This record gives sequence, C-alpha cells and structure tokens, in this order.
Amino acid sequence: MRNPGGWAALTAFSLLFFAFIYAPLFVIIGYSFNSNPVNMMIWESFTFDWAAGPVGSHNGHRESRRLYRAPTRCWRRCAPR
Amino acid sequence: MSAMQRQSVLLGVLLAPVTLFLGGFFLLPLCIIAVLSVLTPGLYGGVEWSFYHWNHGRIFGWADGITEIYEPIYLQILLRSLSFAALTVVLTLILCYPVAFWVSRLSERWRLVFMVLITLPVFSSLIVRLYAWLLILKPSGLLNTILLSIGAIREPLEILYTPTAVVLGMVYVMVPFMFLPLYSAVDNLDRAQVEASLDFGANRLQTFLKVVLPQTLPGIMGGAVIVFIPSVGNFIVPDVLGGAKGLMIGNLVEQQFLSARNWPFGSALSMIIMAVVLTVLLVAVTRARKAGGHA
Repeated sequence: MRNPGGWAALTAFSLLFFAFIYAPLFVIIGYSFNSNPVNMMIWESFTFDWAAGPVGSHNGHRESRRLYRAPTRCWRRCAPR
Repeated sequence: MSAMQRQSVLLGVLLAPVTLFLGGFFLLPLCIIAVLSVLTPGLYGGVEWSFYHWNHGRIFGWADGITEIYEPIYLQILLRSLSFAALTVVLTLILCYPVAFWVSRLSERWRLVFMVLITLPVFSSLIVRLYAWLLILKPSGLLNTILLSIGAIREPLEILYTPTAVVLGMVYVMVPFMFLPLYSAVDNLDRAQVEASLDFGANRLQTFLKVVLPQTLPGIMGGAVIVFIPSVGNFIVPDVLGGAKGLMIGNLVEQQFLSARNWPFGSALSMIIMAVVLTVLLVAVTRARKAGGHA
C-alpha cells in the first residue's frame, strides 16, 4: 500500500464493519444469561439455567416450572388489592 | 448402437435427474402459482376452478369496484419494496467494497480468519439475529442507552418500527451475500495493472474508474443480484423490525396466504414480484455483458 494513512482508515472502517456484524450476536450471547423467563428483552438477573437445559441437566423441568410460576408470582405480587 | 447414439443416450441419462428435479420442484410449483393467480378465490379459502382476472385487476387498476376494489396501495407497497431492496444493495455495496479490499490485502492466515468471521453469522438463526436488533434499537434499548449516557441525544431515537429499521435489518442480513462475490472479484484484481496505471500518471480516481471498477464489476453485479432478489420479497425482516410503515410486498403475500386465505390474490402478488425480479435480472445481465465487452 502506497498510502499508510489510507490503509489505517481502511483498517478502521473494516474493524467497524466487523463490529457491526458481531454486535447483535454478542447482545444475544449476553441476553442468553438473562433469567427473565417471560420477556427476554427485560434484564432480570444472571443465570446459567438456559445453558443447562440443552446440556441435559435437570431435564428442562426447572425451566417449565419457572415458566409456569413466574407469571403467577407476578400476578400475586402485582395485582391491586 | 453407434458411438454417436450411445453418447446421446448417455447424455439423456445424465441430464434426466436434473431435468426431473428442476421440472418437479421449480417449474411445476411456478406453474401452479401462475394458474392460481387467475382462479376465483373460494369463499372460505381455497379456490374455485373458474377464470378470474380481478386478482390482477385489484393491483393494476381494472377492478370494477363491485367484484373487487382497486387499491393503489398494492403498487405503492411494491414500489416501496423495490426501493428498500435497491437501498439495501447500495448500502451493502458501500459497506463491503472497502472491506473486501482490506481483507484481500491481509496475510493468508488473517484472510481465512476474516472470511470465516463474515460467513459465521449466517449459521445462526435469522430470527435470533433480528431479535438482537430489536434489543438494540428499541427506545430503551442498548443504542439509545449508550447515546443518552454519552449525551449525544436528549431524547431516545425512534428507529424501531420505521423503514430505517427495515433497511438496517436487511443490510445486516444481506452483507455476507454481497461480500463473497465482491471479495472473489477484488481478490482476482490484477494488481500489476493498478500499479502500471498509477506509474503512468493516472491519478487515484482515474485508476479506480478505469482499472479497478471494470475488473470488479462482475463481482458487483453478482452481489447486487444475489442481494436484490431475496430483499424484494423479504417478509421476515419487515415483520420483526418494521411497523405498519415498513410493510413490504412479501408481507402482503404472506398475509394473503396465511391470514386472509386468499390464495389467488397472494399468487397474483407473487407473480408480480417474480416479473419485476426477472426484468431487473435481465437488465442487469445484459448491462453487465455490454460493460464486460467494453472492458
């Protein structure tokens, strides 16, 4: 390359390009540790539960219990008295 | 059996599978769609086997207003889909062209790494990647949080459920398909010719226009066609990221087949997509051939 400044600009552009490609994937990876069982968009707390499911530990029972219980719990807690 | 005859029999045997495959899985469905588009929609879904040209009339304007009503919205949505797809092609090209040059100048090992990095996202689910954009673009999402915290904006940007979000999503999804043909063209660029052009007094712009661009044009055309065709009929991206203003013709077809259960009208719409794509393709190919002849 005859022009080192041009090469640096090209490198910066390309790295930004790869950041654009990978930003959503890293967002998904980050949110896969979100413990919110109802809405993946709202961060609740950190959990390995979703990773444990496919590996086969506790056979997914816990997830289904959570899925069932979480809304009920919310209903009890959030409902106006 | 003479050698000539044996050869033609062999040719027939070799060509039979691909002919049957294309005939059965490409041409036949196409014909079914074409026939469906001129049949009467059944009252409760399905079709009645009688000729009915109002499906096209609803779109192009010869509907009588009694049997079917002409709505200019269908042509507007078609036009919007075409402009979104064209914009996607231009933006992916602008993004990928410099990067293709950059990757082609790297060492063998790094080139391999970045080629894998480009193609890797394609292996993850499309829906998952689009939901990631939902997380990033929503008013309380990552982009707005970052921009608000550094003080670049006062109020959250409303990007989600706008045409901007649809085009952004399509660009994101289509980038690898633009990059790969472009990269192969850029990688095969005759660098000696570029050097010669610069040595013999052409400036950078002249060199780019007269040497680099004509040599990479096949890659550009290939990438443009591969990006344009799925973009025109895309319905997943506008479904996830576009609101009412981001509706594309693919969504209309999907709605007609799955929700409205008007198969003939859905077929008529998809015939129009096909006609448009075919026209664009023919123009692109003849232009490219002409340009190739000059170079």
